[in-house]
This record gives sequence, structure tokens and C-alpha cells, in this order.
Amino acid sequence: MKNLYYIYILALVLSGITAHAQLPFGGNDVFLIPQNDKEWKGLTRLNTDYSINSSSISNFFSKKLLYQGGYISNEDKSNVTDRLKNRNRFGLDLNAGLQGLAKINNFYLGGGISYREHLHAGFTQDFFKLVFEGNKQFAGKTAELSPLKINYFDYIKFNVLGFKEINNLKIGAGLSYLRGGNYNSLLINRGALFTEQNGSYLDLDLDLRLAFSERESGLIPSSNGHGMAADLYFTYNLNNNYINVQVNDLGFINWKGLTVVEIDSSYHYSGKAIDDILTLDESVFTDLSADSLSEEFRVKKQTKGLTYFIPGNVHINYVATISEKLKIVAGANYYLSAAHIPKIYIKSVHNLSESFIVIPCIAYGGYGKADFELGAAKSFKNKLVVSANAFYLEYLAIPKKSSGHGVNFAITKLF
Amino acid sequence: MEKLLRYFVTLVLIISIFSCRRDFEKPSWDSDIIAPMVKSNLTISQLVADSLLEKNGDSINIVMREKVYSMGIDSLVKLNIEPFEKKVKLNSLVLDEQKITRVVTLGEIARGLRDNGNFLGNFILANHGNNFSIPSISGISTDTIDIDGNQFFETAELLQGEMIITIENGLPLTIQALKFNLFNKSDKAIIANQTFVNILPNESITQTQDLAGKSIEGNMQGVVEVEMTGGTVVIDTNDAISLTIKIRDIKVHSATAIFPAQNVVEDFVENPVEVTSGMELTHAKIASGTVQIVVHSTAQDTIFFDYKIPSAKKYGVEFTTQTKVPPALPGQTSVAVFNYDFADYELDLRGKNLDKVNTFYNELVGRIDSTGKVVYLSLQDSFQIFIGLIDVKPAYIKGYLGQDAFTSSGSTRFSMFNGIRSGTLNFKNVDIKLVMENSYGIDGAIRINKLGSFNSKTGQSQWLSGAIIENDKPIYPATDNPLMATVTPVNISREANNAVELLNILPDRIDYDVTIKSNPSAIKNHNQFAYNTAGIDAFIDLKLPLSLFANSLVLSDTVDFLSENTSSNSINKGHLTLLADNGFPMDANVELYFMDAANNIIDSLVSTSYILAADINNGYKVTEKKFSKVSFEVSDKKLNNILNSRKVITKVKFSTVPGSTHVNIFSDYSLDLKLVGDFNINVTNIK
Repeated sequence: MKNLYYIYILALVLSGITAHAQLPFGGNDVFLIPQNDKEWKGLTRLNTDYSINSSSISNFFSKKLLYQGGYISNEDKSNVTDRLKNRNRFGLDLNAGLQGLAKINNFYLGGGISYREHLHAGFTQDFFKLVFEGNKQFAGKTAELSPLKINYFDYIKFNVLGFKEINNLKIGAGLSYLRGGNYNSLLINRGALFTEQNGSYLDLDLDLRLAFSERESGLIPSSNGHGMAADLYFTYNLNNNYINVQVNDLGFINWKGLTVVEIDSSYHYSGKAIDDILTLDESVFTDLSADSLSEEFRVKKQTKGLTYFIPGNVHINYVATISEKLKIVAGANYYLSAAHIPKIYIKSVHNLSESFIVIPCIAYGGYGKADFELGAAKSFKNKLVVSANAFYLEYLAIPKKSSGHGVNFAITKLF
Repeated sequence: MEKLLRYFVTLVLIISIFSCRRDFEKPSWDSDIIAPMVKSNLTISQLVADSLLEKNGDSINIVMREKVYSMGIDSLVKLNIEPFEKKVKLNSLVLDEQKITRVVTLGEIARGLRDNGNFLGNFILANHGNNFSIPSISGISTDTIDIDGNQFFETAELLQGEMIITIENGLPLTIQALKFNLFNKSDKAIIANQTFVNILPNESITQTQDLAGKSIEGNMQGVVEVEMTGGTVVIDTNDAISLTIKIRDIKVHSATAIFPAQNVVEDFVENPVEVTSGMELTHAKIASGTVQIVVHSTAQDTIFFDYKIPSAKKYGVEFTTQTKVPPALPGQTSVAVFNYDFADYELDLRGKNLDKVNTFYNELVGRIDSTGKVVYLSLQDSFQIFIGLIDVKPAYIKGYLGQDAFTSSGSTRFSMFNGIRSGTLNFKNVDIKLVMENSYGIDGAIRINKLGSFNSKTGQSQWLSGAIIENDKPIYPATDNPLMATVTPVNISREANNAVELLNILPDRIDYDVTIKSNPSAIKNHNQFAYNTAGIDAFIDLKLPLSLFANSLVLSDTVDFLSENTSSNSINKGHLTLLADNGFPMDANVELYFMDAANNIIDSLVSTSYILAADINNGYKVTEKKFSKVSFEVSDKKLNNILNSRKVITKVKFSTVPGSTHVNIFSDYSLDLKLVGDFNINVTNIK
């Protein structure tokens, strides 16, 4: 039982080090790793996951917007606008990593490499409507565009970690080097657009910062920044029930060479003044360009570096061992400064056999609302564990009206 | 290690799957956008060009000037100096003084005696150096003596001249008589026949022979006959009689000779300048023109010409030119042409003594230079010289410019109402003046024979009537230094019965028939002047107080629109809305017609609504602006047509409110227009 405990803690740690957005917490394979840690001296773990979720944006909409493309119909938009609140969230995570861990006496030492792509957005109802439906609906009204926060970035992480047991307490720490890739950020601290009833003028009040790197693609994009991050682990054994606390990715990336556009002004736009409106020419159309508007907005555009604190993750849970065939896990997970609300969850781990488990889960919060998940794991001769987890099962039933979809897949090899 | 490598490869593959995600179709959606596009504030300054507006307090007058007639210096002045010909022969030909010396020795005389059988000859020759007693001798004659003058001339027909013959007696005996015959070698024609008497030893005698009318050659011969007294002397056969022939004061009719430098033509004359009949010009400045000299010469020597026009000066320097004509071959004529720019010369047309008009004085000198070569020249040689001033245009003339009358009739386009396509416009009153701007220093008069207006669209016409017709109106002269034109207005609207009717038909053409007279009083004043940069211009000046009423007055204009096809993919459909705050007391209906490159109308924007007129108070003045909203529906097809058009016709139909009442247009009236786009657009996400 004691060994199982260690393995469980190890799995939790691994789940933390392998990626940053293990949603839900950890992979299901950790529950099938042999309990007696004397049966193995080390392990490697390959993990990938992809998830997307929102408090309002439907699966159908986000798939078209982000990677499927195509025409977004008014019905698609209605399915979103019907669910919009004053404040709305959207998040995307893509992770892939390879980790290793070796046991040296009572000390565990590990490290690995992983890739992370992350997008999060916090936006107002008016912002979404303005972008996707236009300003005509705001004729005679003001569209509130702030607060708005959209961050999209990716990086490759090289990390090392170690942890040690001290009585019932296990503590550990890790340190990572972050190699930044793409970075895109849009922040509107103050934003309001008033559209006159007849459209005769627009009043825009805006405090905005847009920053982006030159878009890179390819197997290994070139680096646009460098950073560091720290991880902390804490586990307390309470009669085979465990309290786990993790802080992951508490760090920053110093992005360089970003194009930064800043606007902090109020602008009254009442049309381009021309001498004689009765002698129309093509400037009526061509002069309404982004460039000319940017001049009117007194846009400040420069190239500079920015230090960005990546969204660190705080994860707390409690694992209660009910029986040899059932565990209950309850916890909360929160991304710092990422348009995120704490995601609370509860899941049960059912050992259908010694080598096969299923893990249903119910959760609320994060980037979405209520979610249902289902995971499974299979052990092969206690040397190889394969696990998978499907997030946001409601997507299968109502894809147009539900938000969130994602999968997790992990393979752990014991030595 | 091998397994680790396999895991790593697997990881890389997974990363690459995410990293190299294929480019999906871009997402797109429709969005309803409403936004102002363009705006404009139209005052009367935009509707009517500023240059046509004159403010009078708050009131506005449209002022306009149309030039109906212009007379330049070319139509006033003819300044022509016809090419004049000078055909002259050589005035004179002179030859330099020449001198020939010939010595006849005693030996030559003795040999002549011997050869003629006179024994004395033998004695003289035999006693050279001896003391010998010589008897008196008579009838001693020399052989024919050659005298060579070819170094001076080969032949010469003399008009005048004299031959100075000097005999110096170098013999020891007195010459009682000496006969000297000089004749041409070829024809033996006598040139001189002189007898000299009593020439003592070592003395000389000079006698003159007139050569007038004689023909002499370079090859001459002479014969000397001598009679001497006797005596005992020492015989020296080298003792000699010296014969010196000097020819001087020679003028020849012709000669083949080495001529000295001399003027052969001198011609100082005055030439008339052809000007417009009645003009008496004293001065002119040339704007452009060429002095051309053409010379035909039969002379077989180079003839140099100096041509001067002392009365033509440029920056104070006379017109002077020096040319030369090459020698003509015998029996032929040499021709040379010379052109000189005559621009900017000031001509004094008062002649040599400044007491004439229309006359210019010029000098021609022809000369030969001494070349040392023998040439043939004759007074029969001639020069035909053509001197002409080609394409002379005056920049300025001064003098009495004559009495004349020019009648001019024609049409001039009247552009004031060009933009009006249909409807009526009625002005309350109008101020029309015929304004004469005279930049000539000459009195004049104008007579309006006919003046009418025409509207080619409606076929309407209106002829002016009243006292203004066929009445001379004075035109006052300009003043010079500096040039100040005089402006003489003739108030048509006051002296005509129907001036405003001329405009109320909205004419696009003015027909005129006017007579302009110069110096109608016929008093001669030679201080009159004219510049080529100036003239007499006749204008019609209009002043239209903007008090009018319009009924369905359509202004139309065609302007270039899009230069190339423009994509309309992003706009699905929508409306263009014209928001108007109208401060004018007139309704306005706006229609836009779009044309393709072949000027075919391919679509239009027409609305049933229109811009409403502002309300006016009892004083017919607008109290406040009126807001109107004119909407034009734009389908995707219509939008596509618009974006593929090249030109747009704008038609604005105005009607004053209330109708048939003259309303005043004030300077503070304005129309605020704003074009608002209300479009359903397709947005393609930027990826």
C-alpha cells in the first residue's frame, strides 16, 4: 500500500512535469503504475493532450474559427450569443512531452522536454457581437469592448526536477528553461464604441495594446524569446488519503522583437471629409483603409521586447481511498492570470481488474462551465501503462451548443 | 538508449503533427457594419466657384466674365519692310602709281649706229676708254626697247591717268633732242610720243603724257631717237641715258591688274516701311524677324560688304554686319545669302534726318582688298543685292496708328449654366456690362451691332434690344511707361430693354457682332503706341444677385470614378444613406448613374426620397437647417456594377421652396451631407 502511495505521488508529480495543462489533473496511467516502487528503478512517459473550452463559444464555432475554417453562419453565431454573459472565457491547450525519472536511493531525479501551445481569451459580450455581427446592432448604443485579454503563445520547455520524502510529507521542486516561439497578445483595458443612431459617426474610446511576433511555422520554429519557470510539489499522507498541492510553470518568457501597437485615445469618426460629395471618386472606397484609420487613431507602433508571465497553474486535490477498487479524487485547478476561473472536479477511479481502470469525472469551471469526462487505462505486465482520457463528453451529444472538446493520451514505460 | 531514441522520435513526430498543421480554409462570417464614409459641407462656394462669387453683406452675387472679342497687334498693325534690291556697278577702279626705269647706254646707242651701217658706231665702240672727238650726231635711233609693266597690270583701259617721263642724260655730250615713242608691244598702239630737247650732260628733263582713253598693256616697247652735239670726250660705252616712266592718277574702265584696296560700292539710302494704310510710324521695336542679304556678283575678286542700319539699335548698338562674296568665275555670277536675327532691335523710322515717317535709313559699302594677285575688274561688273527684313513682327510701335474700323462677329461659349441639364431658373435682375480693356495708346470706339444669347438644349434665343444697339461708345487710350490699360464699361443692362431675359433662358452661347474703330476723331497724334503683348479685349461682365427661383433645375456632371475593377467580394448587400442637413431653401434630389468604360450606364442609385428644403421666414430667409435621410438600396449585384464602373453621372434636381418666388441665397447657407454605408459584409478572418 505504501508502495502504491509512492507510485501515486510519482504519477502526480509526473503529470505535473510532463505538461502544464493536464486537464484533468494528471493522466489516468498513474493509477496503474505498480505500487511497489522496488519493482522499477526508473520510467519514461510520453504524454500528449489537446483541449479547448469556453464559457460561451460553442464547439462548432471554435472549430471553424480556429482550425476547420469555412463559413460561420448566423445560426452558429446565435448558438454562441445565446450563451454570452457580460464576461466570457475561452481557452486552448496543446501539450506534448517526453519525460524521464530515475530513482537514486530515496531521491527521485527527472527531466524532460515538452512543447506547449496555449491560447486564452477573456472578452465581453459586446466585443464578440461587434466582431462577429458588426456594429449595426449597436446603433444608438455603446458597445463595451473592455476588459479584453487574448494571449496566444507557444514554447518548448526543458526541465529538471527532484523530490524527496520526509516522514508523511513529500516535497519537490523543478526548474525549467523555456524557449519561446510565437507570441500574440491583445489587451484592451478601456474600450467603448458608440455608433450614432443613423451611423453618422462613431466614437471610439480605446486603451489597447497589441503585441505579436513574426509568425513562425515548421517543425521547430525559431525562438522569439527565452524564459524560466519553477515548479513546486507538496503531498501529505493522511492515512492513505492524500492532500496534493502543485504549483507549475511559475515563470516568465522574455519575448524579443515583438511588434507592439499601442493606442490610448478617443476618436470621433464622422467620415472622410471631401470637398465635393457630388463628385464621387474611388477615394470614397480606397481611402477607408486600415492605414488611414491608424493615422486617425494616432496608433503608436514599435518593435520592442516584452516580459510575459506565463499562466502558472495551481492545483490542489484530495485523494480518498475508498476501497481497493475505488478511489475518489476531488480537487481544484486554476491558471493564474489567464482569463480562467478555478475548475473544481470530482472523479472516481474504478479498478475493473488489476490491469484496467475507468475514471469518470465531473467538473465545473476553468474556461467552461459543467463538463463530463471519461478516462481509461490499461497496464501490460506492470511494465507498460497506456491511458486515454476524453474531455467534455457533452460535445458528442450537442456539438453546436456545447463548449469544449479534447483528449489526452499517455504511455508510461517502467524499467 | 535505443528505446529512448525511439521515444524521442515518436515525440518529434507528434510535435510535428501539431506544428505542421495544414492551412485550413479561412473562416468567414457576415457582419452588419454601419459607418460614415464621406462627408461634405456644401456652401454656395462649393456649388459655385469662389472666383464667381462676390459677397455683398450676407447677400451673394455671382459675378462672371466672358471674353467675347479680342484684337491683338497683328490685326491692328502691319509692319513690313519689303525686300529691296540694289543693282550697282563698280563706282570706280583705281590703280596705284607705278614707276618703270629703263637705261640706254652709249654702247647700246653705238651698236644701234653700227647695225644701221653708221661707221661712227664702230669708232665709238673701238675707242672705249680713249679720248675721242665725236662729231655732232643726229638720227641716232635705238633698237626697240622692251618695257615690262606686267608686275603692275597686264591690261588696262584707262579712264584717266598720266604718264610722267623723265630723261636723265648720263652721257658726256649735250642731247640736243630726244624722241621717245612708247607703244603696246602687241598692237603697236602708241601710248606716248614725247620729244625732249637740250639736255645737258648729267641733267634731266621731265615731261607728262596724258593717258586718258588709252589702252595699255604690261608688255610695252619704246624707241629712242637722239641728236647730240659733238665734242672731244673720253669714250665710256657704259655712260647711259636713263628713262623713267611713272604712271599715276589712274582710273580704269577695266583692267587685269593688281588692284589696291578700295571701295567699289557705296550706297547710303532710305527705304520705306510698308505699314497699315494710314499709319505713320516713328518707332518700332522688333519682336522677331530676320535681316536677309542676298548678293549676286560678277566681279572676279572677293567683294567685302559692310551693311549698317544706323537707325536700328539693340541695347544701344547699331545693326552692323560685314560679309563677303567670293569671286565669280569669268562670265559667271557668284551668289551669297546671309541671315541675321533682327529681334529686339529698336527701329527709328524717321529716316536719316529724323524728319520722316515709315522710313528706315541704311548704308551699304562694297570694297575689295589688296590681295597682290592679278585679277580682272571692270566697271561693267555689277552687284545685285537684295536686302529684306523677313517675317518681322513688331513688339512695340509708336506713331500715329491710323484710322480704321474692324467689324467682328462670332460666337463664344457661355459656360455659366453648363451644368444645368433641364428645368428652369429665373433671376430677379442682372447687371450686364460690356467692358472694353484697351491696352493700346489709341483712341477708339465700339459699336454693338448685335448681341444675343442662345440655349442649344432648348433652342431658345434672345437678342438684346434698346439704345445700346448700334451706338458708338468711346474707348479711351492706354497710357505708357508704365503701360496702363484703360477699362471702359458699357452698361448694357441699363441701356438695354431685356438684359435679364438674356440669362433666364440659361444660355450656353453668346453671339456678337461689334465694330471697333480706331482714331475715330481723325486727329493725328504721333505719340500713339501699341505693344504686341496687349490688345483690345471685349468682355461681358455679369453680376447676378442670387435672388432666384428654380423649378426642377437639374445640375449634372460626369466625373471619373474607379480606375480599375474593384472587388466586391466582401460586401454582400446594404444601403448607402445620404444624411443631409440642408440650409438652402430648395429641395434636392440626388441620382447617381454609373457607366462602364464604353460610357454605357450599367447601374444607378436612385431614391424616391429627397433632400428637403430648409424652411424660410417671412423675409424669405432660412431659419434653420432641415434634416433629411435619403437611402439607396445596394444589392450585391448593384454593388458589383458600381465597383466595375469607370464614370459616374451625378444629377441633382433643385427646386426652390416656395416655388415661383424669388428667394435670396445668402453666404451663410450650407448643406451638410454625409454618406453612410450600411453594409452586410463578409469578413474573412486574418490568419
